[in-house]
Amino acid sequence: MKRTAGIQPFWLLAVIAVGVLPFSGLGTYTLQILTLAGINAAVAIGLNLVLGTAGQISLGQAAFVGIGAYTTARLMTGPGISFWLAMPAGGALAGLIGAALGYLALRFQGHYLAMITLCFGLIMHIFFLEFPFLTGGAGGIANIPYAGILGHAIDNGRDALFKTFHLSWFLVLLVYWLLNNLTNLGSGRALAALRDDPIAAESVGVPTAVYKVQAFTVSAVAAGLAGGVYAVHTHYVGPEIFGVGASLEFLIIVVIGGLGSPVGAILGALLMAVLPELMRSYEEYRLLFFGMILMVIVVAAPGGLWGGVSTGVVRICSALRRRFGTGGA
Amino acid sequence: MIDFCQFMVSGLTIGSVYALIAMGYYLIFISTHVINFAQGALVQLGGIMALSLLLTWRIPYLFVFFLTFFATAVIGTLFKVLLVSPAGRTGVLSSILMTVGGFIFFEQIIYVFWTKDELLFPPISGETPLNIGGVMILPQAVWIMAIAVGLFLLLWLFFTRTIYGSAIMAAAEKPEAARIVGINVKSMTSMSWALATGLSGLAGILIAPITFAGGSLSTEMGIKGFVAVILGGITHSMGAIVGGLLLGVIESLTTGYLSSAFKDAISFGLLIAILAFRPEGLLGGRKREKV
Repeated sequence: MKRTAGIQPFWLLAVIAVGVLPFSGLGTYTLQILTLAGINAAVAIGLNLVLGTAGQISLGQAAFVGIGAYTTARLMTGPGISFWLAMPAGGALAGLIGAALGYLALRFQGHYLAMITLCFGLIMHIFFLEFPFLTGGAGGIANIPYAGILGHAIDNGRDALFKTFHLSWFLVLLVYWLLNNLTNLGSGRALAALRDDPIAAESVGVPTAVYKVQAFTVSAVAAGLAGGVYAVHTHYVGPEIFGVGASLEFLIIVVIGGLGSPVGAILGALLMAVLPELMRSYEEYRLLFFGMILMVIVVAAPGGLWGGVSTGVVRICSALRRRFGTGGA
Repeated sequence: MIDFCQFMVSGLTIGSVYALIAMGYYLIFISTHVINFAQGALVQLGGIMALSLLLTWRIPYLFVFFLTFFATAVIGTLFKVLLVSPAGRTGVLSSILMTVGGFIFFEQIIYVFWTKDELLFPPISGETPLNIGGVMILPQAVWIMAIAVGLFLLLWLFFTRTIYGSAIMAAAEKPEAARIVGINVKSMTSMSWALATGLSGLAGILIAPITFAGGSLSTEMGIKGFVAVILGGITHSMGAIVGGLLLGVIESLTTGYLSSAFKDAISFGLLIAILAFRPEGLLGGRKREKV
């Protein structure tokens, strides 16, 4: 891939779009949905690194979101630490635990790793429930304050909603940018090699162990930071939010969007957030529907939504080229 | 001492159910090298289908067993033939994602077609506990253990004394050789899935009067069966039984002497410890397989 120096137009556009969007007259409710979609997208981009790029499976990603959210909530409500210190602390703690899980992943692959990460998620869920002095137990932690900026507390209302929207989508851009660089640089290729043929990768001198642990750590940090934003978005964290169900939803987001592509993860998160709103009267069938989509995509379209879109675009382009000669190419 | 016996009895009761679920994991794993994440949801699906048959259609208990076994076996086999096998061709990750998708699907089927609540399930006979030297035993517990032992005997006879059983084992252990002697490996692996998922359905009927019927226990049942089979050894034919009973007893003792809050944490911790230090399980030989 060609790498150009300086700020690419894509990033400029993306940053401006995220900055301006809340002022474009969208309703409060829509903004709330989009903020949540952004939080999910940040988690999904991270999970995608483990699942899509490194080919390892994690069925406990919601636990990392929970670790970040609880840490942020506890630090902000207890000692009254600023969001801007609490959120990175949550990300760091999630990262540490993610690294530990990454080490386990060195010994186990495939089904075994899937079960271990599932068990990890369940253990964290028990932890959230059974250690009330840290986590508030079954009641969770409520009344989490808004994120302040430079010591100024933000007032309730629309202003604060704009801020959390910006927080969540700038986090998405940050995670996307970090991982995009990571996957385009050496370690991304190493991760892809790891997925496609671990033994060959090892034999040409790729330190697969380092990269595997790295993938788990980075994805956990992304999830932990997203958890911090979640805490100030909803002002409440509780054990039920970060259970196995949530982990499975992250998995669905990544697979539906398209394994191995950060853009796919964002598309998946948007779809999972918007679709239920469109089919509100079928609320009961939501997960049944997504379970079916997951199975169908695995069999029929492993590339997911983004895979479908990009092959479609490529096909249309080549068809146009054939039709109109090579002009412009 | 009476306390201890009481804990042992309840441990062995729930352990028998874990053993049945674990047997399902074993059969599916040796024949297709897949760990079926949908297993727990199929257990609960079996339970809730049986409840409908019992209450809505007033079908006698004995027939409910046959019908549920048949229904879950058919569902499991269709799932394997139509979805899991095609997904498996593209790699391990796809087959994991597929069975996880199956888990969500079957669990949601329960929620959508039945209810989100946990439903009371009538026991096979009576609810007055038997008092044996101070130890109270529910009649359902006796049924569970008796039926589990009966099923394991049937399975053992099936695999050692019938041509179909031997063919399934041959296809599972040496697929190439089995193909050469004319065994249809594909239909034999489907048969393993049918047996395994059918057993899960039966486990669902047995456990429901003690827990509840409904989708919310799907994850727990799935994980417990898996922990059991790993504990005993997933490549050993007795692993499921030994692991299931052991896990049941450990859980019951933890609940009795410590707190019920940590019984799950202990079994998950046990899983990670066993995988880290003795991945072949308690019964498995020192033969390491890359999984």
